[in-house]
Amino acid sequence: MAKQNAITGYRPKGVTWKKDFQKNGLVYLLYLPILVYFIIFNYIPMAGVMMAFEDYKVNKGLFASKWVGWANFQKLFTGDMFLNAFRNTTCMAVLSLILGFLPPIILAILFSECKPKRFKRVTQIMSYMPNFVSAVVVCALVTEFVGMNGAVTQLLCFFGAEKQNWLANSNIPVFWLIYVFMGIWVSFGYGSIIYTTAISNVSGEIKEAAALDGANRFQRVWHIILPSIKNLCIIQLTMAVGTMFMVGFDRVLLLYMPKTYETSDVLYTYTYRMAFGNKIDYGVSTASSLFQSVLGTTLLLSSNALTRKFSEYSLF
Amino acid sequence: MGKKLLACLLAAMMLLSLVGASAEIRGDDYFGKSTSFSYMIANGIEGFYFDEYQDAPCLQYVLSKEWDPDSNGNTRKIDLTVLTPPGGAEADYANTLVGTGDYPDVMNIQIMSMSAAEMYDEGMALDITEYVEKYMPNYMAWFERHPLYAGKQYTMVDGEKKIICLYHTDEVVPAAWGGMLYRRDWIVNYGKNPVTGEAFSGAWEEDGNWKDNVVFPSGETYPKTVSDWEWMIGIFQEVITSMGLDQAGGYAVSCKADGTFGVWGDMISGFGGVNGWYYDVNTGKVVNGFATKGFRTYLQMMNAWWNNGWINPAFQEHANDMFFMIDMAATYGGMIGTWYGLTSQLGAALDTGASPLTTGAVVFGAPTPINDKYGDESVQGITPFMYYATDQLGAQLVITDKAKDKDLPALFSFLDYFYGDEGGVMMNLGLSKEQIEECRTVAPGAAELYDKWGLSEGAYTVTDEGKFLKDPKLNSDGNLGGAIGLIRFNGNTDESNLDRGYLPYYQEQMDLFHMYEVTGSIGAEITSQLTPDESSRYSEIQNDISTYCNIELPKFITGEKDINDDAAWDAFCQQLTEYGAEEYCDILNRIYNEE
Repeated sequence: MAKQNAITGYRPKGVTWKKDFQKNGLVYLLYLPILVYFIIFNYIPMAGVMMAFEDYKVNKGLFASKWVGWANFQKLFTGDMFLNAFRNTTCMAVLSLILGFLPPIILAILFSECKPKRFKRVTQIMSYMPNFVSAVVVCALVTEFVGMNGAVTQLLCFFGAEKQNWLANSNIPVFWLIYVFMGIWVSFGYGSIIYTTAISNVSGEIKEAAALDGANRFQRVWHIILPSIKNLCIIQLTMAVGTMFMVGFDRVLLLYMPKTYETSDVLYTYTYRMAFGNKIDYGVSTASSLFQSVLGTTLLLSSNALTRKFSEYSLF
Repeated sequence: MGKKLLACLLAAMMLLSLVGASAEIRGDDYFGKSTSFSYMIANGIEGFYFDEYQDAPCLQYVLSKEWDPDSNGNTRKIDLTVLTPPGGAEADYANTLVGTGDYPDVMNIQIMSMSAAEMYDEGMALDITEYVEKYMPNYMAWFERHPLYAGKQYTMVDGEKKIICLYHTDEVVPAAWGGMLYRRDWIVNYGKNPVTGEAFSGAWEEDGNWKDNVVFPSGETYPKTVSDWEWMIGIFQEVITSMGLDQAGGYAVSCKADGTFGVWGDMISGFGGVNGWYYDVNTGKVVNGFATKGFRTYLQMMNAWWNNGWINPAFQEHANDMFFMIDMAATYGGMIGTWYGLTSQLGAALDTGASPLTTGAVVFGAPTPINDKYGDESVQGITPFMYYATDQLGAQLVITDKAKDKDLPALFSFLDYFYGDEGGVMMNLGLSKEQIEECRTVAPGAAELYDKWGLSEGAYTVTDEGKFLKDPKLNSDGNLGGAIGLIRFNGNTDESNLDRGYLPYYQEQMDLFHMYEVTGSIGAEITSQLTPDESSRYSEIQNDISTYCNIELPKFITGEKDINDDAAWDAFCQQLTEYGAEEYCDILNRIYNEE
């Protein structure tokens, strides 16, 4: 029980807030800046949700702008390309989740099993680097890689594919895969840090005992490491499900073109064109964000409930 | 009874005269009120020549002047604070000012998402009719001098004509900054006279002028008709193929991702259509140019050019390029025959020595061609009527309610100065030698900056013909050219008296861009009159149609959809109607009808 509390951070039953605060005051103090951050940047701005139901005017502000009810949502959902954008967003989100969830775990396990320290450090740094490069640069690189004479295109040509600019290919699922693999390339190294840290906390004695009992590397990974990081994986998966609809606006905007709107347009870019084309429409853009947030929260709660039911462990 | 009636009449007359007197603005009533104003410009000048626009020498000079709105000796100075939005975040900056209610007295609304009419409707912009009529004689005189714009200083608001914004004005159609360009040297080196079959010749002369004997099939020395263009592009295609440039990303024709050139009407109005909406002088109405036979004919031509392999095979992939900077690597690499570009690319600008393909490159400009080949007679021989950047009314200023209790007569006298001869020249060309000498006493900081920049003799001189000749160093340093005057302020620009010192060949190209009168343009003075509801709908329609055209037009050009198929074309036009193309016309026609 105590171990479980340590992992989850739950306050033990029967212990009052006051007692807990007296006992763990320093921990609460450490948490204070985070709490303040969330209040200022995440909770107070929530009042802005009202804009989704208003004909928002900057000079009138949040409380004096005209209330229009669901009109902004109606405008959003009845747009010609809404269903198309919604389909693309969903497909890219699901593909990102399916293809993007395992690589950081696999990489973390590979790092943990890698013995030469220098090689390990170099490869770790190299895998983290794309995460610190701006989206513009990443997209410029991807544009080069998959362009008419790009490295990826040439590789694909070697395997018999037609020479072309893959970003201009509007067939399903070309753009989706480019987007997903770009996301994996950018984030799988950085995403592996948390798993690497968790794996480093796995008791060396257990692994040593298993080795003495004849367990090979794969068996040690399968029977010791993976069960040890199972809860972390569940937390990460639950959170990934909750944010899966936040398909990267900047990356899609930088990579898509009218020719491929049919397969590349996502909710964010669709809203961007609608709300920030010739005249800024704060109402529609907030309505779109609210819609995606509600969708994300629903998915987060569902995924949490499912993991609680099937793994007896959940985020909350 | 008679005395009573007389007394009543006298009392009524006195009352009327009092009401009349109180309605008229009197500058003296404002004397003593605050003359401190804030003025938001749309963007600044790079910080190389001064840190803040506030430090601009011309502003220092003009702020040293005293203003006497009623010419009765009650002079006062203006204390002006200039607000400059950070580059790249101009709209955010302006919206933040409005959102916080801390917006300035004078705002350039070019960067804002609200029209002048909307700002007036929201109570932010003042009705300045009486002030402008009384204290801005130079501004009012401009509209009298330009019959095409007569009365357009007024906006129809609530059924009344009011002045709610001040436009920047141009005395003559401003010089083009961009247009259709082509490789003249390729025609000289690889083309043949269409009549005699003889090779062309051309060379740079000692005085820096370009001279050649190129003649197009129409008999002109520039590409006048579509047939001229096709003859020219055929030469480009041969050059590209023979040099193997097509394998290296070269092509004959560069166009935008939607298959058009420049902005509304460039290359298209010579077919009698426009890729957007235009004002038809014949009917006096705004027309949906997309649905015209002329626009369809233009697409038929583009489809033919595509089939000939003349157009950039990857034109659809340049959706993120600015319309005047498409595929710059290929342009500056010397691998394109014709493109929409900047006037700074004219002449030998591409010949930088960076690539053998640009060695000897000579770039010329061309007007919008007249269709003489495609479609029937109804779409042939039409004089082009649209060209970008030719409107003589520009950026708008509004005076906000923040200034309502300040000395407005002094402010309007100050603003009017820039529409006068002296102020207009100073704003555009900088300080004269005499003004610099005056500055040494009244605004020493301004004189110091001019001395530092090596312009102690003034930024310009006046020639014997009475033309203004810029100091040569201002032509070679664009940033300095911007720093010497007050080009971010609204006023009147008069290029008719400006001797830019262009060589004859260059001047000819500049003139070609302005060859045809622009009659179809829908100017800012129209769109600024949209009501909030109209503005919202107008924007929505434009967004939908822009997205739709970006997707659909290339399909007609590349043959994915048959441009000759009536059903496909009708479906395209029908969809535009559903998006509100005709409603868009109705909105604008409402304003034209009210004028």
